[in-house]
Amino acid sequence: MTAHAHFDVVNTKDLTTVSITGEVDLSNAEEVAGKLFDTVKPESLGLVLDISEVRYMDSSGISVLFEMSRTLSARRQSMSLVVPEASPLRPLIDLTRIQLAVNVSETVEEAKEAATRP
Amino acid sequence: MNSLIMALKVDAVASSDESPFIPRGIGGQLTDLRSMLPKGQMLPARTWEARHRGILVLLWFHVVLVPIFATVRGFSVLHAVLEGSAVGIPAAIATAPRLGRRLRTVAASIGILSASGVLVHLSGGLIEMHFHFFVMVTVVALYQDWIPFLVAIGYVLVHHGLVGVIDPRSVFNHQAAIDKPWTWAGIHAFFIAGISVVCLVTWRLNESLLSSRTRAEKERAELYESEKVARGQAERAQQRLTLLAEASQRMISSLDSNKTLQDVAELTVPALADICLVDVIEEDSTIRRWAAVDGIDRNGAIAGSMRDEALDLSDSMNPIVEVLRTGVSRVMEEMPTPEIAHALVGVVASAGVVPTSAIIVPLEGHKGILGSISFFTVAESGRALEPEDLPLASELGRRAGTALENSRLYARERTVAETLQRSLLPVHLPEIPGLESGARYLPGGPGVEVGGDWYDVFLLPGGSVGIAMGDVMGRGIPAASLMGQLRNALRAFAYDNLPPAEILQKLHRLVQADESEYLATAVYATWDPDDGTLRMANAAHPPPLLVTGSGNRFVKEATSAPLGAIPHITFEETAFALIEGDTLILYTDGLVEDRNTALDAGLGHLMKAVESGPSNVDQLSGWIVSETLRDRVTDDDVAVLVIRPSQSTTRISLNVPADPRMLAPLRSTLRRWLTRNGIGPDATYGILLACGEACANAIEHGSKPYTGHFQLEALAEEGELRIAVKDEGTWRPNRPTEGGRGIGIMESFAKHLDLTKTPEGTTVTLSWSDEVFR
Repeated sequence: MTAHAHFDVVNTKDLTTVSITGEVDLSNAEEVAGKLFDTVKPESLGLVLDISEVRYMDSSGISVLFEMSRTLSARRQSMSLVVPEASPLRPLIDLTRIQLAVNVSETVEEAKEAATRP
Repeated sequence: MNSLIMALKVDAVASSDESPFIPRGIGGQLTDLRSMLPKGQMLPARTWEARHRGILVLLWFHVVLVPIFATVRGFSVLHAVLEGSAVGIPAAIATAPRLGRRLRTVAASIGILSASGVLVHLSGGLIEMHFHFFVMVTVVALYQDWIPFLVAIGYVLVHHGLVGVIDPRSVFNHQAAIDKPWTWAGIHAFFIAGISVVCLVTWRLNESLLSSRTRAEKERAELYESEKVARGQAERAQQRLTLLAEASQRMISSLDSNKTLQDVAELTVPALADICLVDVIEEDSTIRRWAAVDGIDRNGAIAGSMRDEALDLSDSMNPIVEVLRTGVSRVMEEMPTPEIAHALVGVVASAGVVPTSAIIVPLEGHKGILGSISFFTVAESGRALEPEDLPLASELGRRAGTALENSRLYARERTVAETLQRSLLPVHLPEIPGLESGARYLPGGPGVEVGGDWYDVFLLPGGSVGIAMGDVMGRGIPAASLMGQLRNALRAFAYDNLPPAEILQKLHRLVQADESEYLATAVYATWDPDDGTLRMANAAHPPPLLVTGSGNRFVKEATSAPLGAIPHITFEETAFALIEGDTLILYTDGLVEDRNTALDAGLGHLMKAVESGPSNVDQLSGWIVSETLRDRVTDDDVAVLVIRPSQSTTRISLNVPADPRMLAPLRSTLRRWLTRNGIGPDATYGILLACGEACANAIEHGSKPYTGHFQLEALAEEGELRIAVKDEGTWRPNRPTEGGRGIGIMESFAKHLDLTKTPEGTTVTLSWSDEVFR
């Protein structure tokens, strides 16, 4: 929990699922990054990050996503992002072409499936 | 050799043994006798002159009388002339102005007694004519002199004796005397002596009376003289004390040392000196002449020229420079050399103004020599400075030094105080969309003491507005410093979105922890622009005035004890609506109460002022100050803050702290403003994102990253939306935290992007056209 972002973490046997609600900007981006880094355990196959309830995200947040994907791929862990088509973040996601680095799914289920796919 | 000395010694002993004994006996009696006799010769010249003139008249009368009397008595003309000449010759001698006083006195005495002798002779020794002698002797006594007096007695004795032997009938007219002329001469002389003794006693008594009077007069005159000197000294001492007192008064009543030193210099001329110069060592070690006063030239040309002179610390010729260097006073009762005299007055020496004496004293401060005061006299005044003048001059130097030091300290402290004060009040109130605000701050009283009043209006995360006002009870830098801490702490707590009562509780602990033992009053409120709810907690601050369409009231609810007053305070919270058309007025106690104004009267004045005030909130805040205070001069600071929810405006201007935490509240504000100005929800995210990137850039690259401010201006008019973000730094496209995406985001999400870089800073202007409007 940061000043204006809230985390829900669900750890299953294989995957770590994190849902963020609220806003991510310059003021809390670093904190969000640290939290994500701590949450994904080494034994986990990958991270499913649900940002469908994020109301606002700026370039600092996008940087966190790129950083996270680099870190996880170095650890040979996967990363899937959940951003529905209707999300206000969608134009930003498309603009920054984060799809090139991580899987972007419409729903958590799709993302989980993508994350566990070998 | 030895025996000779012994003999001399014996001799000396013998004479010293006896001689004091004998002379003391006789000499003592003689002295006693002499002291009983009149001293004579005591008539002052003018008195003698007057008496002599009268006696001469008498004498010349006899010169005429005698020949007439001789003719009447049947003597021949020759005889008459001869008899007349016996009086006339002494009369001529007595009249001759060139002759001495003693001679003329004797001549007049002889002449006047001769007149008696001649008259007795011409009357054929008629005994009644002898009375003439007695009258004449008393006339002679008028001279109050021994010589004519003795002449008179001697004359009678000799005249009667000699003439009595030669021609007894011309002196005496009875047989017994004719037979024994010397015996009768003796008898006559005896009576003359008798009258003389009577005259003598009279004379002596008069003389002693006179002398005691003279002595008394002389004593009085001496007393008068010494008193005059003493009075003069006392007057001078008094004058110096007055001078010192007046100079001290001027020095303590003003902290403008430049003017004070000029005043002091003016006081000393001409009271102490003819010229007074004040030289001060400035903080950059140069010497500047602060004052020059002269009592010689009325049009001030001399002082003017001397004032422009600047001394050089390396000038070894000038005693003033020496005093400035050493701090040791100099007294010059006269000028050692003409060169030094010239060096002392500089340029005016060539105009003929040359000092004759001088005293130079240092201006002493606690940390050394701050300057000097020089006093000079010039030849025209005919006076000179003396060592006795040094204590006064030194004291003036000491006091002026202290005054100068104080004024420097004061200037320094004032700068600190002003800087502090400025940093504690918002440079300008933020323009929060939907909320108009106006404020006035009036520093109380003269002097360096800053007050402890502060106010603040700021945006909160989540879009509410924080409104604060407080007053640390006390003045001076410690009070202002506590107020600074409170203001910053309140902002920090407020950003965590804590409720007002809790924030005051935290401030209370902060004041308690402060060692200065000050108390503070404060009121803190949050205002939610969405529903117009104002939540407020009050720590003993004067009640805010709520002005609504349905009436005005002071909000006295939720008021607790002052911060720091007692260990445990329970702060309460009150909530009321503050909607469009309502006004809330916060103020500090300086506005409504002071020594002469009761709180209730002050509150009445405030209420009345608000009822008749102008509608513009900024003008209203000024109106409230002037109308409530009226002509009252208050020692206390006065702060007034007026806030009023307003209609949305198409134009906003925000001064935003360069703090990432401001981004979220800024977005809330902007989102609300966009909605009010008809921007569709679909477009809002892109606008907020582009604007957020520009603001983040301003925060990270502004002149003072994370600590300064940046400016956001937004305009929504005639189908155009324009947002400009200005900072005072060098804009760089890449920020460490966004991987170089910010500029791309702005370009994509704004219709148009303009970037202007100047040495003063960078302005990013983002604009959209009518498609963003609903």
